[in-house]
Amino acid sequence: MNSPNYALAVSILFTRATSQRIMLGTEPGHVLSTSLLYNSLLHDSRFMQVPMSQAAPGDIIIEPTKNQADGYAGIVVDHGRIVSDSSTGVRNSSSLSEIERHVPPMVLFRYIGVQKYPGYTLASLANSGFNPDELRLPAGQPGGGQWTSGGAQSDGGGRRTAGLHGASDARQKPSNCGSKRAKSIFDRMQRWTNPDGSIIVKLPPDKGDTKDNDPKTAGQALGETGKSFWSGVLSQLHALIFQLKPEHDSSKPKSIGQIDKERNEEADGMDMTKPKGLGSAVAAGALITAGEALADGAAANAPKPKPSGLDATSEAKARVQANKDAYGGVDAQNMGKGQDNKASGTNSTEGDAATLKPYSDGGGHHVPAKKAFEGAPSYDPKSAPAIPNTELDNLKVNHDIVSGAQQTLYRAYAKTGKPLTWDAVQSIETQALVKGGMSQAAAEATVSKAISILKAAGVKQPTKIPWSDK
Amino acid sequence: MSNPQIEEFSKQLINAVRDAAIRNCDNRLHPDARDPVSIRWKKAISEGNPEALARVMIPDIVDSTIAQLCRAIDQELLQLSFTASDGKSTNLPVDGDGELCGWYMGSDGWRSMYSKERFIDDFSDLK
Repeated sequence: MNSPNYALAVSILFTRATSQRIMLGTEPGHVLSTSLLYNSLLHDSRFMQVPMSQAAPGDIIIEPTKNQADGYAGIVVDHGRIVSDSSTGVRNSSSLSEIERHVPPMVLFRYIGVQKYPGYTLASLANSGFNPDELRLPAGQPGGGQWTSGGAQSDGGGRRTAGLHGASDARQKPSNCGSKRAKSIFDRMQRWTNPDGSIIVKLPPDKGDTKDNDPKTAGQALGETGKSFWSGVLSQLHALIFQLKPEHDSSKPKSIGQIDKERNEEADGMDMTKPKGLGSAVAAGALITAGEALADGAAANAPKPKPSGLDATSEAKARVQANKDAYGGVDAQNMGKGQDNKASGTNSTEGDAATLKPYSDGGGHHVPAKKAFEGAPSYDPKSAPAIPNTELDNLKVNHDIVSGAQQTLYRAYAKTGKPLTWDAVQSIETQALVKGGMSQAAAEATVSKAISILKAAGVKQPTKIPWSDK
Repeated sequence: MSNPQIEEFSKQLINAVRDAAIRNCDNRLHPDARDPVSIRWKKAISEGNPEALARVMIPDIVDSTIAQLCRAIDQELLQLSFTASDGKSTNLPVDGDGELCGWYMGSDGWRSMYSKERFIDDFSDLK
């Protein structure tokens, strides 16, 4: 049985909901440590820390662990519940009331990007409809500690099943609680649980479908725009759970780790990026990865196919033209004329590639590292693409950090024993730029552009792993 | 100074190392800067403890300055050589493969190997 990986589950859900990486510079499937995730969220301007009393759907809850990999992390859903990984898949059996009693205290982070949705309110929503007095199953028995409402419990392995088995004496229908609100939660949760118990969380009913008279149901309280965002999160969760559902044996849902392993066997992505255990195939498979994003970028930037029947002179001219195209009109083999790859000459924005010039033109940061092409035919470090010093300053990219990240990543890659590939170069160089402070999109576009320039210049492949003897 | 070579060295040292380091550190304070050093500094600034802020910034500024020196060597702006204790000399730009700055800054680089003073590994999440 795989151990839960809370950080990975949160990372996957966040990326699917927002198309962003939860940790800049780290592929979604590589977020395996709550300690690192916590530190990243703490310093990431996309997230704001909020008090537990203001918990709202979509907030990320995390144990502020330090120097240890395995803490708790989850995402708040409405009714005070939290979705998180379990040993057998994603579940929603935790609750804010449990979390609030946790020592050390958990911490909430809110993705502030949600505020771009007009009409979204940051009012406290997580506990709307949440009844802290709702009865729970006694500890020490299967499903112990879980809510009695919803007609669902854990089978002991984290899977929620319809109805309660062996615990009926502990179950008290919400109607007996004397709480109209609890009754409405009960009704809603009934609809959220599949009769066969194979799906753990279902989308909440649409507003029009809600028979609940409680004015603070999630959909109403969030407003349509906020609801839309949150529904996106839930729908991704829903999709993930469907993936976890086994085809032939619904009693044993696949864990993320199992899915991971199976995808690993199929995928042969960037080997250097394969982490141990969880996450490797997730990264190579279903998630939004640099590889996927770059596949499009590379295709767009790839040199045009060479017309057949070209003689040597025509081929050379075609190559020069391809170089010029790649640099945005600059002749890559006759550089140093002070041009760059942008007609407008304006600074890069979030999704634009940074200005690239031949290294001899403005110095700066070689993209990729020149050592990776030592001895390669057609590679000239002086005419190779680089982000000029002035552009690094304009973008506030920390060149020292980029260099340190390159060294760290290339050395890690060298330990895999595999030869350096274009894909690995793309991944490493992108991560290094992001670490230095460039946006993910700009970094990916910049590296893709630089690789296209090198390919157009006739560089066939990397020859050496920088900062290594290989 | 009458020695033109020393004169050129001094200019390169100031331009490529001192000024570059100051410029780099200034950039760390810019609102758009998002690298680990910038984040660390802004957090320390927001906490309002001047001594703690200084303690955070001192090693980062020193590291930035040495990194500029290494880069100036990597980029052959400073063509320096080093004579080891065994009397053998090495041409740093050539023998360093243009990787000295990375060796200085990297996670398992020279700082972690040899420094006895405080050092924050900004790349531990990349390994």
